[in-house]
Amino acid sequence: MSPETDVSRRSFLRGAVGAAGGVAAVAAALSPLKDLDTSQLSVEQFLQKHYKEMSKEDMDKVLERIARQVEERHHVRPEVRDIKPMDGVEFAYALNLGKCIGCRKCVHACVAENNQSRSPEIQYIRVLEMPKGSIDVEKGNHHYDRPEVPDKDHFYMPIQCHQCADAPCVSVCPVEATWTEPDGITVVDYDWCIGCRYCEAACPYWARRFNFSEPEIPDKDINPNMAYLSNRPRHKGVMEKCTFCLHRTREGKMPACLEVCPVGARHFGNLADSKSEVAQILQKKRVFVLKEELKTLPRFYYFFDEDYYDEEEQPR
Amino acid sequence: MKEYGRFLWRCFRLSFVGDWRYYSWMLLLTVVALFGLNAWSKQFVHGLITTGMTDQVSWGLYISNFTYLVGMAAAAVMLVIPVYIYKHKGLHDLVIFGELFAVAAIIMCMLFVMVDLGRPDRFLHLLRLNLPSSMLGWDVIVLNGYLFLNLHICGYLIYCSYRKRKPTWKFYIPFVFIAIVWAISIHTVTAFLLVGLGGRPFWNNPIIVPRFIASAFSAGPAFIILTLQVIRRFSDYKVTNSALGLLRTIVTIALTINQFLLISELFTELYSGTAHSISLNYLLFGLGDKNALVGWIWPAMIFNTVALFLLYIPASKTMIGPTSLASCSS
Repeated sequence: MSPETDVSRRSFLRGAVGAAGGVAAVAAALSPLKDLDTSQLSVEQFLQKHYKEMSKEDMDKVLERIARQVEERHHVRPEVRDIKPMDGVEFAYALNLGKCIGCRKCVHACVAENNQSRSPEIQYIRVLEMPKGSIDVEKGNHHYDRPEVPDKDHFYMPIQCHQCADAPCVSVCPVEATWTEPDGITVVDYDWCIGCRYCEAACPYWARRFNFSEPEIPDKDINPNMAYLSNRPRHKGVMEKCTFCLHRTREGKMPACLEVCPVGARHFGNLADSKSEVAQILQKKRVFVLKEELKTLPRFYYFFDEDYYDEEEQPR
Repeated sequence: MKEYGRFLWRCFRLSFVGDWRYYSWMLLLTVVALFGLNAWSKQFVHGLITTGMTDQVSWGLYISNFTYLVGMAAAAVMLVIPVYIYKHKGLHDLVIFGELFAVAAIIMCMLFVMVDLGRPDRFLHLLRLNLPSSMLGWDVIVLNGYLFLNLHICGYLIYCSYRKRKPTWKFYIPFVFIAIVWAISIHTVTAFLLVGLGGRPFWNNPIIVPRFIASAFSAGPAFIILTLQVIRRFSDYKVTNSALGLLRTIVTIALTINQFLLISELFTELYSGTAHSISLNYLLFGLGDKNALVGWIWPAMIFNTVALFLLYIPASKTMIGPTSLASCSS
């Protein structure tokens, strides 16, 4: 007799009790899912196409959905745009280590501008306090906490995304959720990222930040001027990073970190224009990039301006 | 087709048949799995923060388990090679076991990747892989390929045996040989995934790739030995001593090679003592007050060494448990 036909009443009952118990146990195991916040999930988003495959109409619908979701969540009506790169522009940053005093104003201006999570705190810029006599970043400390800066035995080295021309974070992404735009800015599509964090492992500058939990921003702190590829609010489970404030810089403004700098250590502009300030700095100052040996070709340059020291000493 | 459905149904039914030991083991595993499901549900609601991972340590146990299990899956090939290339008699009936083991390991790999994703609801985006540049993209391809190869081979052989037919060689032998090369590829690609990162000096080291293979071919067969020992004790399935002896030889050779590569790595890093060796220093000795991994790496290395000595003692006929434990430290 085959086992199929040999279903006695008793074994059937036993099976039924077992199955019911199993279903109950699975339901109990899955019970935390009832706390899931589904308000920010939508079918449209699930079916959304890759950024590069969206038509203008597709994008308009997406921007409308994002604006709606931000308004529902933060009670602020944002202006969300998809701002395209300008022709003939390659952005670059130059930072004068001779001037930086380590005040971290750039860090906080960046957080405010880019709608970064306040809890847990996410910051794109790290300022390393470095002992004088070395430029080894491993000796740097980004947790320094002093009543006053700068400390006389240290210098300060802010690090943020270097917008590499050959970005390892871009090539490792399994789903092309991050790429380098024609103007040199590496962006993340927060609606496409699957959250594998391979890019974070690949970045030599530790420039990427992952939303390990749902980011929290007080409604009053929301910056309503948003772009799809930069500062629109993110959700948990996706990667984010500095975008050179593309919603500002693609319209001719300066990045927030530069505007706030009290000592004028930061310089930004179009490398393709040889008369721009950054292009001039690259030509005239002794600049360097961090970890040049890794050949990631950063668009973020550091330099020490000799003039700064002249000011401290007697004028010649 | 109908017959095939019936075959699958009877396989399914059969997986619920056993004595009290089988039921208690399955019950235990089910309870563990349900705890896992519960933890994952919490993680899905609250985010990966529930794992304790941070931007500093952005990959943790999920990815290490994934890597380990890729090695396990690849190691199943160590049952296949002796049979199909060297015509080893003792292992012949165990090939199917090896392939099923590979299938189980691959499924666990994929589950570990799934739970590691911040947005598992977007897994369909993996259909639009960023190739050829992303090694994770290649990993998705080789792992799925290996899964299907093994499902096909053992599915076909078991079905033939169910129908009491003699398997036709051309329906499975070519796939067996593809699977042998493919098995090496899955762990190689997984190693490439890590060694390809120039910004991570500790990983950016070519010796990691052969070490992945060598450690997998010691850990995998070691685990299979333990499993076969259990099967031999608690079922009437015949596992010959010669089969276990051959696996033991494989473990001994692979572990020796792994130890040799490890010593080469340790020497190069520690003797030169450049900035390149800072991660290894952290792992072995800690940096300042940061020494979370020191308590793990030393026991791992000691187990490895002890296992190697035990394997080389001619009298140690019994198969050694610590081998599998120790080889985990790849």
